[in-house]
Amino acid sequence: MTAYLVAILTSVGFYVVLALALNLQWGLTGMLNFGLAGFYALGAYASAITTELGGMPFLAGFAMAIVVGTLAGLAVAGLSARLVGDFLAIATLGFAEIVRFLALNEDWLTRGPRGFPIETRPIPEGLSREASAWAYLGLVALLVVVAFVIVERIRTAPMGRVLRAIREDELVPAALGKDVFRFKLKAFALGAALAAAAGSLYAHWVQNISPDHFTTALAIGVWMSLIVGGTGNNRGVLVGATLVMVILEGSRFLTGVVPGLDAERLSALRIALIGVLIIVTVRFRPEGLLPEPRIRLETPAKGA
Amino acid sequence: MTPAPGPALEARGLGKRFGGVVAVDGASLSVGRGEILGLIGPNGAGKSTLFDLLSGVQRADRGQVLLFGEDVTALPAHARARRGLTRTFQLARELDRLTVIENLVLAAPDQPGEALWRALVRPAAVARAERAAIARAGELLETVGLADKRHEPARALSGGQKKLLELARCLITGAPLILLDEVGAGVAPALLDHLTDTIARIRREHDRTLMVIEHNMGLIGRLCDRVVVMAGGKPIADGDFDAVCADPRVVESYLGLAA
Ligand SMILES: Nc1ncnc2c1ncn2[C@@H]1O[C@H](COP(=O)(O)OP(=O)(O)OP(=O)(O)O)[C@@H](O)[C@H]1O
Ligand SMILES: [Mg+2]
Repeated sequence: MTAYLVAILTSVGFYVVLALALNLQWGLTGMLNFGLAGFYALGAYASAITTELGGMPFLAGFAMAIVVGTLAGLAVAGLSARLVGDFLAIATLGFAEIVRFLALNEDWLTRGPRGFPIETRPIPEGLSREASAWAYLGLVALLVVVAFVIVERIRTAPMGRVLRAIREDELVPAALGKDVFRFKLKAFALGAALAAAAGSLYAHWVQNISPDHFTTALAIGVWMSLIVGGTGNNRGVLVGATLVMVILEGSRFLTGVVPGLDAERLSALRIALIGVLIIVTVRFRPEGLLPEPRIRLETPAKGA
Repeated sequence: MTPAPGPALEARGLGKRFGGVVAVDGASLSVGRGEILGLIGPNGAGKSTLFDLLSGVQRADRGQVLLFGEDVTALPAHARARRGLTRTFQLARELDRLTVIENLVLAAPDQPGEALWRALVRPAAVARAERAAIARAGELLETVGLADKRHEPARALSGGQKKLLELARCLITGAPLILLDEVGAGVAPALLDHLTDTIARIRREHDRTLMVIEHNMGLIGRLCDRVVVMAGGKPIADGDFDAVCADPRVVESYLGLAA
């Protein structure tokens, strides 16, 4: 039971990092990203290829994931951000499909649909099964904390104010002298890098990745985390991601308890449960459980 | 400080069409430094589109824009803003979910905390610049009479208050040249005099150059040193308010309608 809990908490961690990345891109900056799973997958594969095929240590794989994720983010946002807003949504969808296609078909690099076995681990050899599970959870928690601090610091800094202004109406910051394009590039690329970093840690955790791990359903789950938890609120996103993950994972216990509930019906039920959660949120709490916090700028007292 | 010679802003043969509609049709004009220039004309004359071309919000099909003598035709809006031209919009574009004061502080120029690494590391300069910007924004809120709305989200403001917010936002940028598109629209009549005085004082005390689109002739008459009348996408008259009002073409194309 503890082992199961540790595993769930670890997967919640990946989810939270993805949700924080999306909160930076969409929640703060208003940039649609329907291809989050693609950046996650890219990080996972980049890391696995570096360590397994390149024979490098985990940290090199992790760094490679971040570099590749950043570059991909810059490319996707750079190519589409100058065009009308909705184009980014399509470009990100297309990007995720391309990553998926490559992962499926370039067997020599990705091992294709059979899955990519990963030996390299970021934790010391020789730990017991339980200890290594805990150690891994610690690593993921560290990434969550780092991602949270980054996105939260940006949100509360003048940079975050510009991003939120872009979200509201990008013509205004432009007319006030802000280089909207550069801000969007930065926000999107940083979000992509965070997603890729999560992908790297995920790959070396499951130790066998295949394109099935990075589906659109995953991205939808992350989107739901934002909607339920509170778009623009990093704490809310934390709560939302945990809630969505608990529903997705916890519903697994229902098989065996509820008669006639097989795996197929269960997955349909999960989607329905999430759907209900969304409807209830949008109906009764459209800004999410924790709405975007209002920032109070007070004039400092004289002499302070 | 003696201002450099030459106009603040110059348009040379600007043109813009939308499909079959020629919105601006070879418009040329210039705005002198320290001047308040009124831009009037019937609906659809191309006034707002001309503002878009001058500020870089839209690309001109032809013609040139010179800002303090520099050809900025190829520059995007933010680059023109950094060279000293900012503007308001005909339909107020307040940033809904930012508070009133955030709308202003946003516009403070050269905030070090806008750089990614400084946002993360937060050197002392970030907090210092932020404090200065907040103090300045607080003063400007007093100037335009929105001090009690400070922490309200901007969407909660009335139409007229949004216009005032936009005006204050332009001021905090420090841009020497401000284009105001129908500042008076939606402002309560009681507030209109205050608004007019505020703009006049801004020019006097802060040494700004302004270009003002307005349908309210009272405001134009009291405020403007010179008036340009547009119709059909180009200027048809240019002179002081009384002279322009007496011009038969102006009476026919615009004022006749209003009367
Ligand atoms: N984005 C656009 N797409 C198509 N047509 C446009 C666009 N913007 C303006 N127009 C057209 O260009 C012409 C000039 O419009 P503009 O808004 O510049 O006039 P205006 O002088 O500001 O009028 P008003 O006093 O009503 O604000 C109008 O015929 C308008 O319909
Ligand atoms: Mg107009």
